[in-house]
Amino acid sequence: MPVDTFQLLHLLTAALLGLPFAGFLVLVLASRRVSGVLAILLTTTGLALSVLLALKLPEQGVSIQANWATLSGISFPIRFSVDALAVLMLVVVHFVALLVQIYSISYLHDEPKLSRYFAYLQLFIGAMLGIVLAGNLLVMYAFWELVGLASYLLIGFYTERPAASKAAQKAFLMNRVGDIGFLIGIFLTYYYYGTLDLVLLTAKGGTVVIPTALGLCLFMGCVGKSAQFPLLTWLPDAMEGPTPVSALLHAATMVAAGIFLLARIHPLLSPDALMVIALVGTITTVWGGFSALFQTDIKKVLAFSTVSQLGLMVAAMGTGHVQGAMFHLLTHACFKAGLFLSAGAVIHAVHTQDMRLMGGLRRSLPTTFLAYTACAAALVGLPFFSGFLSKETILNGAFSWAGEHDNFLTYIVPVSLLLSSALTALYMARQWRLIFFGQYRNELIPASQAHEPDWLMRGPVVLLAIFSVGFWFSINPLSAHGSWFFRVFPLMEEITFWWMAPLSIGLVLVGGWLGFQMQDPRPDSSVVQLSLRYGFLDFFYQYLVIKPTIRLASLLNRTDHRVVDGLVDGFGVSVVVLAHIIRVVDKLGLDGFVNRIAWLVGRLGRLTRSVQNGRIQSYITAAVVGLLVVLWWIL
Amino acid sequence: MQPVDSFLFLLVGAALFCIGLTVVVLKRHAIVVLMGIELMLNAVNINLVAFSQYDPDRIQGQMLALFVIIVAAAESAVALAILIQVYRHFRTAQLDELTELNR
Repeated sequence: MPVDTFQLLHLLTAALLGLPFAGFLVLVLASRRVSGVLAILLTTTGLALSVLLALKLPEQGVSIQANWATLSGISFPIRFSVDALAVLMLVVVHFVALLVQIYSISYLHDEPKLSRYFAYLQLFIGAMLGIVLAGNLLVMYAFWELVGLASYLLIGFYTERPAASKAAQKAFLMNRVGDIGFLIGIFLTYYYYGTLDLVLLTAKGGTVVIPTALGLCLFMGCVGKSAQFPLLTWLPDAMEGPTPVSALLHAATMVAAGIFLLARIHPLLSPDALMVIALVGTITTVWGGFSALFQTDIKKVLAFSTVSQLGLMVAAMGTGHVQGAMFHLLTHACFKAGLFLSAGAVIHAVHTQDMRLMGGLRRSLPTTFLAYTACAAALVGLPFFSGFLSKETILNGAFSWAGEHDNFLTYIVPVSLLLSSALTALYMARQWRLIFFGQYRNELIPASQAHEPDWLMRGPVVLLAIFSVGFWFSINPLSAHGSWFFRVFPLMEEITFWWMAPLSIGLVLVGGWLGFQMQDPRPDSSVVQLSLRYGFLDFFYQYLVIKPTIRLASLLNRTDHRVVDGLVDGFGVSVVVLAHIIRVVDKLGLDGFVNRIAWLVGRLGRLTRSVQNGRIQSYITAAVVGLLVVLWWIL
Repeated sequence: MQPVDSFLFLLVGAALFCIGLTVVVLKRHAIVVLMGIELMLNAVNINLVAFSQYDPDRIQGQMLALFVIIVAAAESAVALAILIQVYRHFRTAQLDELTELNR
């Protein structure tokens, strides 16, 4: 390999990282009219650069390293590395970000803070690229936090809405819980292996006995960022942000960072840790799917569906099928972004997010209807769509994993995953029916006013819908094994159960039919409440975490007031008393002494002065007396 | 003629001097003080005259006494003139009140 090609690759990597951050600084100051065009230009450049990088990438990858800190012989380098996985993520992030930004120009056209919006998006892209390109855990953690910040800023973008600010804080705090675990995991990694470099760790992972706690701590980062059980409640609240943000951050890319992290650290996970991860993923899938079932907010259904799909990916990681999870991440990014953007188009048309006030929109929004149908079909996993391929891979992997274990209970994981895909069909069909079929139910805004958005919004939606078709990923619509994806990332074993495809298609069809026909039970029934409040997880947090924390805080506050303040006050009072004593001593002792001397000198002076009283007679007296004394002394 | 013992003269002179000194020191009025000074001068004169008996030929003591008397007269004139000016200036001749030296 010639040297200048390497230099070109280094330059490309640096430019990819630098562009969005430079864009962030420029866009903060840009006017709102040019900001959108500028942002799209930047992201297009980024996409072109990543494609170029993908084409030029050598087999062994590229890495840039710089020394950052050296503490008493231990050095922490900054390291960015590009490999096939990173390039895949680069292209996905740039592609979705580009479409979302084009969409945003139209969707947010009368938003006064538009330039700030695009600046935040650039910040997010930069941070996400940082995670993707990070060559060691420390760098990844830094960008991980930066992504959290960008997410916080974008969720709370509508600063005038208190709910948005609250949701942003909630997302930030819940992510913090996970991040602390991640940080401890990084410490543990350094403690056990003496390095944070991902390549070295991958090499060591297979040879050394791995502590389970390490893997679980690192996994906590993923639990926070990817909204896994039990930290999943921030994601539905994050829907307070603008819809394109939900599409980019909270469906396609940011929440996938946790999955990406798991893919990077997979060799560091012990079998026990993998089991826990698989279980957490399974619980999340079912929990999210069930919570999506009776939501009335169009975006919340999609949010819980995201939770559910992320759970599926995590479960795939837990069952050891990194490639399957990454494949699902890729397909999910396309169709979920498409779903969110379509939902944005629907919201744009009817000015509400409440699905009970929609209905029959397939006539007034035909393009959106078709795109939505394609993306939803990919999500539920109908054949000929991308989701089918990735889900089949994951389910096959999960069943073969369960087969390897002796314990019969491990079949809980794949069976739950299979059932949750039926659950997906159920809630998506219900949503489909509520939005596009039946009668239009909103009396305030007449149905004739609902119209398709302009092509700036329709274009990205249609493009994402096209990419939801399975043809792009695999020529064979019923199996992913011929896919280009698995030629780049080869599967470890290729077990395909013959009954898998018919069974899952059957389950999806049954679920979809049920969902389409089902009438919602009364809103106050316990099942609906359980789903609407996502298993009362927030109440659990409210009573078991937040309330005791606040009580502890007020207790500490009172202790602070009484004990600490008392101590400080007592100290202050004693100092004042001491000062008074010193003052008295000073006054009586030192000042008294000084005054006494002054008084004495004054007295002496007056005494001396009295001799010179100006009376001539006393002078004469003195002279005579003096003369007499002298005489007496002489004689 | 038996000469009088000079001791007695000296005694009278000393007494006169002491009286004069006492007047100068104790009296408040300037004129009285001047009178005391005259007394002290005269005490000296007595001494001069008394010692003059030991010089019967040239009687220098008596000559000096006369000289002193003249000087005393002149001195009194000058002193009285000053005193009149002082009185005009300060409207008093009480030495207690004339403490200009105590400045």
